[in-house]
Amino acid sequence: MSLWADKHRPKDLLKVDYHKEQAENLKKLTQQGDFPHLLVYGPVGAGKKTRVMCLLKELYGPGVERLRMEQMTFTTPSNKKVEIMTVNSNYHIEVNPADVGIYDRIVIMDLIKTVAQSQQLDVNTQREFKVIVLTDVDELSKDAQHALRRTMEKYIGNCRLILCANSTSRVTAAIRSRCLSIRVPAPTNEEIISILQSTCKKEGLNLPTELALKIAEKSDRNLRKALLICEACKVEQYPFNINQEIPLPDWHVFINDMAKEIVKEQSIQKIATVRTNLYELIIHGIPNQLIFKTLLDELLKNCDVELKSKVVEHAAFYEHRMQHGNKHIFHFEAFIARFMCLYKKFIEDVTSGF
Amino acid sequence: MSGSKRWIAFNFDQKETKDAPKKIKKPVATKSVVAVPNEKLKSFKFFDKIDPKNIEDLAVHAKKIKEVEEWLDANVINPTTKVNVPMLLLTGPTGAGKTTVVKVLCQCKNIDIQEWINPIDKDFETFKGPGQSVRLQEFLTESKFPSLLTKASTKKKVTLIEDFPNTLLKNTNEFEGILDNCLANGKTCLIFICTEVHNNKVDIAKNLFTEEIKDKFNICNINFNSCSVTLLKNALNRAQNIVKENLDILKLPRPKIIEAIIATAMGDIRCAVNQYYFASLKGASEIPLELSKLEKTGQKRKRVDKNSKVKSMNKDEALGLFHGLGKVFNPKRDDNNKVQCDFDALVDEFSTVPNIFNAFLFENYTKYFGDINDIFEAADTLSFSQTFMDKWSERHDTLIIPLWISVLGLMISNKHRVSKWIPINGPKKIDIKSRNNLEMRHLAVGDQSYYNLITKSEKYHKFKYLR
Repeated sequence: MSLWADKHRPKDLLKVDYHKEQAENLKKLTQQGDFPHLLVYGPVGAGKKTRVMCLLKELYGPGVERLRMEQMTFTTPSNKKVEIMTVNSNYHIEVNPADVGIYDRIVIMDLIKTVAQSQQLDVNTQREFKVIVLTDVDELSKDAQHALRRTMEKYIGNCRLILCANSTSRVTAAIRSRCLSIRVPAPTNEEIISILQSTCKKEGLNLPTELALKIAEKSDRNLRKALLICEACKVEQYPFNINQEIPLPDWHVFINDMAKEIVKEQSIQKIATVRTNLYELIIHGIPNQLIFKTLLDELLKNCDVELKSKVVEHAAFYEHRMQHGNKHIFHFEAFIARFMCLYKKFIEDVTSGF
Repeated sequence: MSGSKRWIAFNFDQKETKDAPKKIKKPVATKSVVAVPNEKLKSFKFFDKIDPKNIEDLAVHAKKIKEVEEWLDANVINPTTKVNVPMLLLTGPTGAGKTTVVKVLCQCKNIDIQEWINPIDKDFETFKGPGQSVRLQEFLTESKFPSLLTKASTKKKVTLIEDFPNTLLKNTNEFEGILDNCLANGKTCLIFICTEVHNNKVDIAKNLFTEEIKDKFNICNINFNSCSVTLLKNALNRAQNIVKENLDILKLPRPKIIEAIIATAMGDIRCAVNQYYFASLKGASEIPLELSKLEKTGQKRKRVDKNSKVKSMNKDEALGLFHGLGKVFNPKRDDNNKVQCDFDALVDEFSTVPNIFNAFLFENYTKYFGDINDIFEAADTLSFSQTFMDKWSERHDTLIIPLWISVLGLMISNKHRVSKWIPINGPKKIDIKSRNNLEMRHLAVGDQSYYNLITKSEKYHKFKYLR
């Protein structure tokens, strides 16, 4: 069973629904013999991967769509085995090196080396380079990024890199300057609405514009999410009703509960329970920024203006620290402890006024 | 007084003439550095006298001695078991008296000791001779060279192994092979002596003598504790008596110094005796003592006045993980509510890797705090130090600094300490599973719950808030 988001994914650069001019430029790019390293960046669900796959198809033909999963094993200098899943076709390989955490450097160095050392099967009819797609490049450690820079220079002869990232701020300048940067902005709400409606039409459904607008607003301009919400709505209730409830993801409900608990009681025991719950989120791979932002939003609903500014200030402070480290739980807890102190004082001040 | 602090000059002439001018009949060699101008002094061997000759003199708990004695009786004197080569393993910290117990007991029981000492490898380079471990095996199995010193061949014999060839630590299987061979061809019983060390990599007792090996070869393990204060005192009393008999060469150290020596030796008898000998040497200046700043509270009368320490004797004390955590979580405060602790010394004493220690601190600190405002301060410091931990992860030597920050922050901010027994939890391991499904690889973790909704399945994890 394939999801709408995968089923109706455009397969050709000319068939994408928005950023058409950019798509044309990308098509022109492939028609030259050579091809630069690319850094594709933009928010989640804006269509980066879709464009990358279209681009690869443009380069190598339909052969890139025959994908297979493969597990690769690398050995660290300390003899630890690191395993990582890759998605391959005959012409390209796609990896998310951030999956292996601190061993990402090894994966990057060894992977590029092995790929670069194997030549294309038929040089005459094919491009003379292979493509390596690295996702979540902004999650890479500094070490890995330096390693990436060196290997990029060394093996430029027979492989090209396409890097995907959400933001360039965590990609080192050295890498940025070696790539052609392509920004894929998120679609506007209108674009999302039209895509939702056209998708529903393809599925033989009728989506009222009001509901489409509601879904688009809920999706934070994340097209993939919008399509998933839409499909979930259809499963819940069809024919669609304009006042139909739009489901929240369960982790979001989870964070809402957590925020309620924090506001309800400020104590040491609460900090401990919040910590175990945070671990639950982190272990199951909910991105840390997402947790932080959602939690902050929920907490701010309970603050007055003066307190809000203070809380946001501290949130920014700890979020910044979090970006610099690997152990995010330390900074989460510091923020929550800080919030509890501020909020407790706030409540005490309010009640003592009477 | 700056005199005692300065390095002692190489020239002893001046001092000798000052302190004991009359004893020197004729300076043997004025240029010689050795401070043994007296012939009588030359022949005096303090350590020969202090070495215990009988069981009563041993500074080891009587029960331990008995254990070893019983083993010797059962396996060497009247072998009751049919094991060809009985083996005994003695473990314990340095200076607990392991070797001495064996030597004294064997002397009393009229047992010969032959000891293995690692040969120097110089032959190996020139002649490509056998390696140390091969030679150890030869030594143990083929008694090629019967000792010339053995008085009667009928005498009972034990083999003492305190020195282990270094290669054995790397390939522990080789050791098993050697023991196998011993069991088949060996003649005398074996006594292994291992010193406890904190570094796991060079811990012979742990690496070579695993539980399997102990079971397989039926090795009896006797663990020695470090020397108790009373036993140390008795030993030094004996030394005191020796000095009293030889007051012409030695002098009696002040009682205060003896107390300090006992306090600093930390159960190491060898260290204590050596230090005592230094203190009793004539001509040497008094051992500098380090008085700790703590003033006597006078609540309890301690057996040893621990406030003074011998300066030159400070050992590198290593705190185990739990001991270290306890020290950080339960800071001592004086009447003015100031934390009493030498932070530098404390952090240096931790034997755990800094980032692991920090993780343990984080996992457990909340339970020791009694006030939410304190928690906030502590959490902030931990978050601060963690940023350094992450940044400097490649440089292990600098990791001590963020750890220092954490420790300091936790100890200072813990103003309302909870004191009760609290179990320590290990740090949580965060192991994020990677997606390994070709079809669903575009599905972000945050969107997985929609997949569950759409397919009405529970393929992905469902979050449930725990209260």
